[in-house]
Amino acid sequence: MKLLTKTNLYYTFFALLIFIIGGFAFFYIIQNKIYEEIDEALLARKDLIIKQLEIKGDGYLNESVPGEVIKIVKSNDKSIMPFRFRDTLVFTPEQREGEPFRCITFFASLNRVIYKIDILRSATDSESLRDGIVTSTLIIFLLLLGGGAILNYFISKKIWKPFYNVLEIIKEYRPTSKSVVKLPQSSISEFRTLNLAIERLITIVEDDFINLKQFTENASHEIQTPLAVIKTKLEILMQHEELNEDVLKEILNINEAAGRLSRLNFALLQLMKIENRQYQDSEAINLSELIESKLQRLNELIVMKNIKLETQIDKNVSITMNITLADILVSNLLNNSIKHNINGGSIHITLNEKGLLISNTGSPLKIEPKRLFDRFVKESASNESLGLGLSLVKQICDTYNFGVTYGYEAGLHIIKVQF
Amino acid sequence: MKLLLVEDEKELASDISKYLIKEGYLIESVATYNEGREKLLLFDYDCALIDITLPGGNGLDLIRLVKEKFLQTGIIIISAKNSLDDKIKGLDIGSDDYLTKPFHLSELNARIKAILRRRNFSGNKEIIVDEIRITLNDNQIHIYDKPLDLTKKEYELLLFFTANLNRVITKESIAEHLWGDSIDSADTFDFIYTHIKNLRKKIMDLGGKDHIHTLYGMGYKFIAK
Repeated sequence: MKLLTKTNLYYTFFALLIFIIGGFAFFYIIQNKIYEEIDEALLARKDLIIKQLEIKGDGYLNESVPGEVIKIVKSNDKSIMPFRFRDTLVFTPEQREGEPFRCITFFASLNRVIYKIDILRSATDSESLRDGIVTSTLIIFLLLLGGGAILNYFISKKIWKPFYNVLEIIKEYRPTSKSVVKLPQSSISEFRTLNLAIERLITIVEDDFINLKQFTENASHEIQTPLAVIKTKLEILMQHEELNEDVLKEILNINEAAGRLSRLNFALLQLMKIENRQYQDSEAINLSELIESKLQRLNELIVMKNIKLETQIDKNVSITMNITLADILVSNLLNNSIKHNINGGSIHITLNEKGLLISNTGSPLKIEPKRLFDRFVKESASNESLGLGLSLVKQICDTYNFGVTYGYEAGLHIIKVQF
Repeated sequence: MKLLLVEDEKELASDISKYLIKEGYLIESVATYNEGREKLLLFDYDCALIDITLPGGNGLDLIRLVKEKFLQTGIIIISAKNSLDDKIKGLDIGSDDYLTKPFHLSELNARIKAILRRRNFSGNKEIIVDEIRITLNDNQIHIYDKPLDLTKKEYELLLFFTANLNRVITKESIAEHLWGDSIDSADTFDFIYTHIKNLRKKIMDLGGKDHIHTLYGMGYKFIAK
C-alpha cells in the first residue's frame, strides 16, 4: 500500500467517525431547539386560553389557530398538576402514518367545572430533519473525500516526486566501482537529509565493495601462491629415485589434498564474485555452439561410460550473459550429468529459446532435493566432489533471473533452466 | 635452449628452475619487473615464463616488450589469477600460453616443449625416444619403422610422456593435460588407466619396450634411455 493511500485511509476512517458522531449530535441539538420553540409557543397559548376563558367564557374555545388542534374534556380530576408536555401522533384519514405533534395538557376551571384541555401543534417531522442532516453531512463528507483525493494526487505528484525518484534510483542501484549515483535535488529539508544519508551510505557501500573485491582477489591470489609452492615442491620430491612406496604414497596424498584445496579456493572465489556481481560484462552467447563444443570435449568420457547421448539442440539459441558465467553454467551441468551417471546410462539434452533441460540416468538422491543447490551439500562424503557445482549454477541462474529446478522421475535426474 | 623465468615467489622460481635444468635448458630466473625488463632487453631467449603480478610492474607489459623486440621468443604466462579475461588479454597481446597456478611442473614442461617445437621452423619436427619416432607434422608414430596407430587421446598421452621422460607424473596431471580443468580429475582416473593400458599394449604389440611404469597405482613414469 502506498504511503499516501494509507494516510488517506486513516484520514477517511477518522472523518467518517467524526461525521457520524457529529451528525447525531447535530440532529439532537436541532431537534431540542425546535421542541423548545414549540413548547414556548404552547405555553403562551395555554396562558392566553386560560385568560380568554376567564374573560370570554367557553365560546372562545371555538376560535382555533391553523395547524393547531384543541381538545376539551370535562374532567373530575382535581389534581393540581399545572401542565404536561408530551409527544403524540395524530392520524388523519388521508395519511396512514401518524404525524408527529407536540401536545400540552392542562386544566382550566370554568363555572366550577374543570376541563382538561389538550393543545396539539404539529412538530417538525424529525424523520425529514434526520434525512436532511444525513444528506447534507454525506455531501460534505464526499466533498471532503474528493478534495482529499485531488489534494493527495497533487501532493504525490509534486511534493513526493523527489522521494519517488530517489526510490527508483536506489532500486536500480548495484554496487560496482563504475557507477555514479546522482540523486535529484529537493527543496524539502527531510528529502535533502535523506539524500545526504543515502549518498553517505552509497560511499560506504562502494568503498566496502571495492575493498571486498580486492580482498577476495588478493586472498585467493595469496592462497594460490603457497599452494603452488607446495605442489611444485611435492612434484620435485616425487622425482627422487630412492623413494619407497609408503613415502611416495604420502606425497601423492598431500598432492591430492593440495589440489583439492586449490580447486575449492577457486570455486569459492567464483561464487563470491558472482554474488558480488563482479561478472558485469554481458554479450550475446551462442549457447547452442557452447554446448556442442563442450560435448565434443566431454565426448570421450561419455563414450567410455557407455552413455547414450541424445540431443535436441535448436540452432543458434542466443542468450545475453557473461561469457565466463555461461561457461561455468554449461560445464557444471554437463559434468554433473556424466559424473553422477551410471555405466550404460543415458543423457538427454534439450535446448531451445525457452530453456535448457538436461536429464540423465542415475541412482536416486540420498539427500533432500531442495538442499541440492546448497553449498557443500554432496551425495557422498567422497573427497573428489567439492559440493559447489550446483551452488554455482544456482547463483548464476539467480543473477540472470533464470528459474532452475531439479526433479527425479522414472530413474532420471532432471535439471531444468528456464531463461 | 635458453629460458627466462620472471617470478617473484622465490621457492616457486627455484623449483621451476630445478625441474627445467634437468631437462637440459639454460634458465635464468629473476624476481622483479625491472630485472625482467633488463634481461629481456639485453638477451635473446627462446622462451620466457612470466608472472603477471610482479613487484614493480605488470607482467603484461613485459610481454608487450618482448613482442616489440624479439618475435621469436615464446611466452607462457604463469599467473595465480584464473580469470578468462586475463587469459584472453594475455593471449591477445602475443603470449603463446597461459598457465594458472598451481600447475604441474610436468605440464609446464610439456607446454614449453610444444612452444619451442612450434617456434623451431628450421629443424625437422620429430621426437625420437628409443625405438619410438614421432613425426609432428603429420602426427605419425613409428616403432622400429612400423607405423603405430593411436587414438587422439593416446597420442596426446604419448606426447606428454615423451616431454617428461623418466619423471614421476601424477594421474592428476595427466587428467588435467588430457581433459583440461573442465572436469574433476578424479572422474577421469579410470579412463587414464584404460588409455595407458592400451598405449602400452599397442607399443609392445609392435615389438616396443615396456616404457610405462606404474607407481603403486598413483602415478606413472615413462622410462627411456
